Amino acid sequence: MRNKTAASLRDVNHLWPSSGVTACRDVSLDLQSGSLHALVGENGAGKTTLGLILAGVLKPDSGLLKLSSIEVNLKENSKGLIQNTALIRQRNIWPAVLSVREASVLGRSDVPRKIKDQISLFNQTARDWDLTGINPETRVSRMDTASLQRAEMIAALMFNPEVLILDEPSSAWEEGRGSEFSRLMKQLKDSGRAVLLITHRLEDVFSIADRVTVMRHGSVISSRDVGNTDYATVTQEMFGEQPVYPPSGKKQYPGSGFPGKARLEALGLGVKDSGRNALEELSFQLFPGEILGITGLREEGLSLLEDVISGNRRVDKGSLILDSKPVPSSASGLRKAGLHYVPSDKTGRGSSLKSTVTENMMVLETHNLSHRGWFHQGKIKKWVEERRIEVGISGSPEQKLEELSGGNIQKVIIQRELRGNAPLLVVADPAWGLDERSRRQIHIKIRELRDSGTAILLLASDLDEALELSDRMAVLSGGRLSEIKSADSWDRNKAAQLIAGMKTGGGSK
Amino acid sequence: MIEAIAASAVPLILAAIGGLISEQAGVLNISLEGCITSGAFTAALVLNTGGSIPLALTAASASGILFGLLLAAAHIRMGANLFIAGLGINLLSPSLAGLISNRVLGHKGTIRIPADMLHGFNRIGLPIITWLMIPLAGTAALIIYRSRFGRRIRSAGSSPAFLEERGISSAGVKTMALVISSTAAALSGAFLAFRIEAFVPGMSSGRGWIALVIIWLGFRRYYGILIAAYFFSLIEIISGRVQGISSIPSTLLLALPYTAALVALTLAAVGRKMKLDK
Amino acid sequence: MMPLKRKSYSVSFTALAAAFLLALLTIAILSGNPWKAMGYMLAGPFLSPMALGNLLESTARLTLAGIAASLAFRAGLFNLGGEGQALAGGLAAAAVALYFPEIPRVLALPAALAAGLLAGSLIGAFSGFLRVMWGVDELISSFLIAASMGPVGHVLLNNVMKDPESYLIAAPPLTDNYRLAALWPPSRLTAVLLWALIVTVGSFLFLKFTRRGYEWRLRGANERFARYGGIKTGSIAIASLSVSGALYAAAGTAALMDGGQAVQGFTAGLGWDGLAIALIAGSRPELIPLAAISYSWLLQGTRAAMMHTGFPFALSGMVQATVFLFVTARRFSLKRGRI
Repeated sequence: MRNKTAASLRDVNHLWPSSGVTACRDVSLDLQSGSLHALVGENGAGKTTLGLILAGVLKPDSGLLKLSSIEVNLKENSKGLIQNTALIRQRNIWPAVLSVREASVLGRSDVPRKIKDQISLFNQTARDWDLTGINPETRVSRMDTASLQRAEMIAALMFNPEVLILDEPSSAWEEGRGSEFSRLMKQLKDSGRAVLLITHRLEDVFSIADRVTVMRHGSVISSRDVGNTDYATVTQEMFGEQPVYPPSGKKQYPGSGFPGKARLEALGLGVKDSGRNALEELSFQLFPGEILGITGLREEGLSLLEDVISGNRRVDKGSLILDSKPVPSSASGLRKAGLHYVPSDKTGRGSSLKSTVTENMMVLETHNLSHRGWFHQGKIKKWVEERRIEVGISGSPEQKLEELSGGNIQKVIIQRELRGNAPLLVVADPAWGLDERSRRQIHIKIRELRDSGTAILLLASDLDEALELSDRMAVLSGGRLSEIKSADSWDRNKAAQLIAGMKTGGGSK
Repeated sequence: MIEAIAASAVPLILAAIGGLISEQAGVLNISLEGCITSGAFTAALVLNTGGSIPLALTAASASGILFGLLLAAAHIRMGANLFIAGLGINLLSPSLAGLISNRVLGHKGTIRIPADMLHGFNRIGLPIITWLMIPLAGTAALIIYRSRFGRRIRSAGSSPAFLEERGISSAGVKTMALVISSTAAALSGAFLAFRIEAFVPGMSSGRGWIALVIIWLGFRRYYGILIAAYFFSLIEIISGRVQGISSIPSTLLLALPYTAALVALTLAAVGRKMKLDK
Repeated sequence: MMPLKRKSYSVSFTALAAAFLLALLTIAILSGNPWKAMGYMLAGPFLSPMALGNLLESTARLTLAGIAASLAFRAGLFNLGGEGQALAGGLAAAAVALYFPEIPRVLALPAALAAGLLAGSLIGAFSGFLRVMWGVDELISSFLIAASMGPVGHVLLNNVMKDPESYLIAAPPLTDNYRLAALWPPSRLTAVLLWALIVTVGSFLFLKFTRRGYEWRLRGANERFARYGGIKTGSIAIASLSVSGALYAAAGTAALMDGGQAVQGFTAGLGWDGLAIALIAGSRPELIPLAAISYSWLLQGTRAAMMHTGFPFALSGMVQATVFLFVTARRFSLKRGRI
């Protein structure tokens, strides 16, 4: 049973037409029944794309799939999910208005007709796999991410898949109930199924996977039994060369308080929202010349905090004080008070895709670039060109922003907001979508800003970015803030556990 | 009076139910107004030229189906903006009606339905249909919230990618929703024509738009549609009575449904804002 | 409220071509005389100086309406109340002419125009106000207000402002001091052409070169982004709907000048026509006159063809409908497509 090939992908090629990026280049992959195959790689390596293609959900430019019973020309497949294959996506796309049960059964063949029987099937499956605690009649919109992941798992298992594809199971699933995840994976293997685990977390690879395939820039770099390789080799294959990080340049945690007054102060902030997203009793102080990092899951208060600080959401309790004055609650008021803001929602709040690069860059400078209401075209051109070169944006100023790559879009936003001497900068996920080099450039720029006296609040959903960039750091979990201490004194694992919702004491190395 | 309110609410409820289905599928059908017109016109035309009531209803439904497919073709296949294409249908329907009327009957005006054709139906059938609206709303709710089809409709509006993943064409579901709503509106137009025993150009007088407002006022629920629709009818009937007493020109009353809708919409929006601010 | 994506910036003259073809085919098939009909359709407006002058006059009027709709679109708002705003404008101007018939010419026309503009802008601003204060979708509110105006207009023309010496539902004809000089008799071409030119150039310059124009455009491109960039999107909403209403009202006043009398239905269709033209031209002011003249040509040609071949049906509604149905289409095939 162990050696039977459950699924076999051959010669998969896929090019994203809009960006010209090759997501998959001549990729071949074998999945064995009863084993767990890990697919690893950096962001943008092509792992998720491959997973979607294997599941039949994305049609590649070319590729063949051979399952135990059938052969599928993936390019022609129009029926969505391949038979006997289950896909659990990184971000759940279940319709918010359906109940868990309805989402589980929609479109499946062999669904019991009576609702009663559907519920029984769901609950029975949950019991069989020890994944209890989900009420199938709950509406999807009311569920938190972690529960949704489990619900998706149950929904997949209800129909006895031979192949399961898990794309970056959320950290809540893994770390909060670490043993539960390994137990589940083992149970899946023992029942003879083939599991493809797409992840960037090597700890999981080496603790539960049987085989590991490394992808980089769309190609398969290696594919081996886990026993035949190690962390260092895999890391090297993932990243290509030893990543060189700049010296950490962190501010030393003074211990005895900061000089001067806090620029931004949150006092007992409370914001009502559903489930674990609500903010409770949140207090912190942000001083000029430091980077305070707050990290956690977006759905557990981080995005809500961002909304509050950027003026998009009012506080229900407590207050936010900026330079000893209550924070204006409108976005334009905040701007006037000196707030600069790099939002996590790049294309929604952060930019206007349909406008040109120039129009996106100059939104904060319109008064300087115009005279009595009329724009000075020459001045604008010069100004834009200077900025463009400074940050290295590749794209012409008259191009619509949507034609640029994600990384360049981010650079346009960063350029606009990271201009000198802003009193306060709120930056969310700054390195998102950027390649290694640009990430380093941005981080250097942020540190320069800090050194010139700006107070910087970093809201990072990426724990590693928070650890790397912050001077002081705190974890936001379930709407509550952990203690704030120097970033260097945080233990990564403990931080990850806190994010996942485990209650631990302390956390110092 | 209750009879009158219920009867006058029938077209609103029928059209609104169809409209809500389309809204839940993510394709709010703006062309209800035009479909009401086409349904009324075809029904009246068939009866006027000697057809039977079942034939008239079939013809009305056919006009609804056709317009639904046309709207689906424009929006789903050709990517046209749903709202603007819907407006197009609203403009097309009366023009087409005039053209056909001219060709077949030689004029573009009112088409009378011979009273004897309708008499039996109006005496028994119309009251039945009036009260059928309530169970109809209930049935619609049952289908939408408890059947396989209903799941697909709701998914189409909430996560079409999910439907595609499960191998169901979201385009197909949306087309179905548009056809259903256009047909419901056309049928409601037919019943309207039966009630006044004629087709008069412009007789829909905004009912299609009011149906959309009713969907929103009824909080996008099927029972909410009933409440909002009866409420609207009530206002219409009351003001009709008031007009009889006072000297306000009757044409002004034509503006009433629109004004009432605007007031209702604004009040509801104010209410929502106040709730959010709390 | 009813969230709808409205992207009206792409140019789509193809829809106009489709409408043209449809009208052509209909007349060709249904009239007795297909070639004659087609000939009139294409050449109708050019057969005489009068026809050409009238073409230009209606183009000017439609340009005003088209720019009205466009300016709202560019700022991210959907003004569906053009019909009512045009009517209000025309009636306000007619009212001034009716109640102040003795004013000298140099004041009369500006006064009438000003009244019209004021009426239109107030109505537009009201929708904007509802949107800013309580989030009432301006699309629906502007439509409902406009629809309410119809019967009101009828009552005004039939009862309050009615010409006692006529059997028409109309106000008395305009006195000479309120009429625009005919620039090219016997056609009805007037200074409205100049109004249209000024408005077109002005809108173009405004949107492209001024800071406010940029703010309007940004709000139209991405409202959240504009807001977070410090732009006061609320006041823009009110301002742009106000201007839009005023321009529609100007078109209504132009209709009044064209006919010389406020008759029931004298502004009918301006709202829809303005929308159609704006959509065809992708809401770009520099393209509006072109769209307007093509549209006018189509309508006038259709009318000429109908007249000269005894084709008794009114096709203008179908022409409008075709434009609306297809002007925002992004694919011209019926193959399976995802939305």
